[in-house]
Amino acid sequence: MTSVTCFHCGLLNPDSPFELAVLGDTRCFCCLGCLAAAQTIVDTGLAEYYRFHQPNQQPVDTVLSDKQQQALLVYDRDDVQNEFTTRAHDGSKTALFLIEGISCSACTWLIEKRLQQLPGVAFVAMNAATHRLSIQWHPLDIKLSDIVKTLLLIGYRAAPYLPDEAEQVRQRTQRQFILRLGVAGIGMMQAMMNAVALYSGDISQVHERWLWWTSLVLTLPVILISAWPFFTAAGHALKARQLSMDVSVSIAILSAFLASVWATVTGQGEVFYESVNMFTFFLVLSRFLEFRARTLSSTQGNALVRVLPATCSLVEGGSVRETSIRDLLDGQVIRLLPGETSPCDGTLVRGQSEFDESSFTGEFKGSLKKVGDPILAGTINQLQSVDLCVSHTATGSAVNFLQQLVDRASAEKPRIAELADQGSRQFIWSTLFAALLIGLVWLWYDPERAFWVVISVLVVTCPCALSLATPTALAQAMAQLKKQGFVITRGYVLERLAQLTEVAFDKTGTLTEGRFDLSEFTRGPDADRYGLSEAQLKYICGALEQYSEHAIAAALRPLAQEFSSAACTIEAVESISGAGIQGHSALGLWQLGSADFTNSQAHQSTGEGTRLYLTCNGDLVAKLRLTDRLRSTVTPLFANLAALQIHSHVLTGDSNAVAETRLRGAGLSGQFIAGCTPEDKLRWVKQRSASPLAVVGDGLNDAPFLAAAGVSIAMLEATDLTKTQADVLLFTNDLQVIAKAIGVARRTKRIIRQNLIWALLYNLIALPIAAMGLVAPWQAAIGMSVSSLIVVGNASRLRK
Amino acid sequence: MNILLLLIPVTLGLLAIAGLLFGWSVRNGQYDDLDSPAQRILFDDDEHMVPKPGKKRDKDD
Repeated sequence: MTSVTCFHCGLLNPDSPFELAVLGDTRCFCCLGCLAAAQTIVDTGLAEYYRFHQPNQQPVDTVLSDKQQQALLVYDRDDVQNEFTTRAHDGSKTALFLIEGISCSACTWLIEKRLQQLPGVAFVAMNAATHRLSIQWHPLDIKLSDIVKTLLLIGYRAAPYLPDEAEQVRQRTQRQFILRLGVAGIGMMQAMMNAVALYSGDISQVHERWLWWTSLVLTLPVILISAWPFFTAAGHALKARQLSMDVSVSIAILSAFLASVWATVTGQGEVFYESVNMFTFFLVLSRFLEFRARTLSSTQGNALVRVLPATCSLVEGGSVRETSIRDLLDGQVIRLLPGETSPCDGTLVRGQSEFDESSFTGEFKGSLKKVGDPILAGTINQLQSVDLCVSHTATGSAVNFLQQLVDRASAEKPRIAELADQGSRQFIWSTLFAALLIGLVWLWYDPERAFWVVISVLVVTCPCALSLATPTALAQAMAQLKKQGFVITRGYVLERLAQLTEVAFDKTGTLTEGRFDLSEFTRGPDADRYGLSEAQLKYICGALEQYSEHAIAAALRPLAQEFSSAACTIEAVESISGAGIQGHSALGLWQLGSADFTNSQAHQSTGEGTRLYLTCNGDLVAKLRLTDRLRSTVTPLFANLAALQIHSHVLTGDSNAVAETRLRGAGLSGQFIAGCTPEDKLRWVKQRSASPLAVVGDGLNDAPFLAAAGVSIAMLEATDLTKTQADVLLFTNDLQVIAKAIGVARRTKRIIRQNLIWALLYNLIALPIAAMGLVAPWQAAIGMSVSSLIVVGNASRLRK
Repeated sequence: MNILLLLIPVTLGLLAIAGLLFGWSVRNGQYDDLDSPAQRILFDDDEHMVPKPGKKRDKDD
């Protein structure tokens, strides 16, 4: 049985998918990672998982690099563990982890079951809403790194989690909301029962007074626990000389309650206890739903915490090893590759490069650093590998980097949300004024009914729906997209995505997998003259790319290890942005890069893949061909974008035009521009500043391109510098999510408009009816709540 | 109907106890996860706890 999508992660399968029997059927998988995860799950007797799981998670990457392996071992060290674990009397430890990759409740079940199978694990509890795993284990029986590895093998990444201030506040607030909701619910139901008895009419004076008194006792906790926060918030607003929704809510609740107390004590007038309770209950309910929608996105936002402990490359006696940032001592030397952020302050001791100091100066043009110059923590190496001597360790800036990005999103409220805020403020003024006016008219016309008419007007016109309309819809949309790996870091993104007409893509690493393989290596015409063997040439290619972070370097770097028998010294390695890399050896100048860079146009060959040329003193000694596969989701992405009437363009630094036929075949509708330098890309984006444009990129050279565009999207593998310029980080390899996000943004815009129209319409209709005295306070409370619940419900359609 | 004078305070007392218990369970963190408990019950992972009729017959024989 073949299927189009991966049984584990739901991505499109390649033409010849991997197969495995699960629950008696043969299933197809998109990659070795997903296959391995499924194998583990089936082998451990947890295949039940697949009955309920929704295949919309990320493809599994179970193969760990050496760097990651070493980084995992950091978890086993006591001083690291002390930071996030607590120790019980019996020696067992407890810690909180944040799990990435959870897509459904079946994942929760799987994680709990799998970890319970491990010896030494005493207790596991997984929270599906917040993606936190609480785990207790005996350190003597199992190592923490093994627990984390077990999770990796079934496709989840775990990071130690320390609840920060904001998180503790969130948890307190949620508990408070549930308590308030419960108290108001109990009070409302009991007061309603009393109200039924009172309204039945056939009741004696004594019993009536008794029911009034008991209703007062029932309402007191509701006022003191459930409604109290409204009063304090209103107090704060008034102190700041502002009007908030809480002010009109408080006036309505307090006046109705105090009038009822007065009636109870004196035995004259009317009581409104059931209205007070009901109004409070529905208010708390709509606020709670709004709170849940809003914080759902922020709790999952914490998933951005680095998956592995922050590490850096320590240079010791000529060799380089990975070490935890917290281990750095003053005077040690660390190596910074291009694109990496400096984890600490230090002094440059080897090489020369440009550093992006924009986080301090706001200037994006790199500043040149030579040996002896100071380097600041948080600045980004832009050109080539350098060594730093650590002078002052400061882990903060690098580690919290991503979190800072996301925090910025909540700070920059979308304009449309602010408009609604302002609108509701003016609205409160006008309703208070209207209520006063209506009250005066009724006082003159029928003083007996004036009081409850005013209360009805206040309750019925409560602008809850109006002020809930926008934030709930935005929060739902952001949470929904975040779940699919589309993490929005700036507030205006949804608004701009909705208006989008064009998307420009970088090619390498964005539309392609960004993993090059050396598919062809031919010795050039001049290789014999220099007496160079293939092994020596391969070693030199590897050595040149040793410190580069470009996607090509990753394919060539292992060559240096593989052919280390043919080693020779390469010095003064320097990368020329967008062109190639060069270095010196005893033989002379080595250059590796494009045909233009190496002056090998005469020998240029065409065809599939990226061509590189290695020259020694300008003589061609080797030709290399590297190929990079197109991601499987590119074709459906282009199709979906076309369906949304969005043009897609591709700008690539690659000079090879062959890719165009491949991309046209995949459905590329707009321009294809090859051989772009970062400046070319920037110019191209600036030319179209008039039309709403989104760009998607990953490489270091995409950073200015991303910074200039209306909406910028960076791939997960992007370099730090690129990520700082991105409005959106993609935490998935499924590119279709971009088209989905545009769809969601358009729907969000539509839903916000519907909500605003509904809220205004409701108030326009309800106000005159209440003003005519046709609505009792309890009917007003129902009307108000139903209108806010409709708004919240309408917004939650975005989660589908 | 005078029984109301007694019964209503009694129910109020019961209500107060229920309210206190509710407050305790909220503070105890039992309401922190509102999503997964509802779905956990759907998993048939309790096969080892279900008595097997086949085995029983073996014993009877």
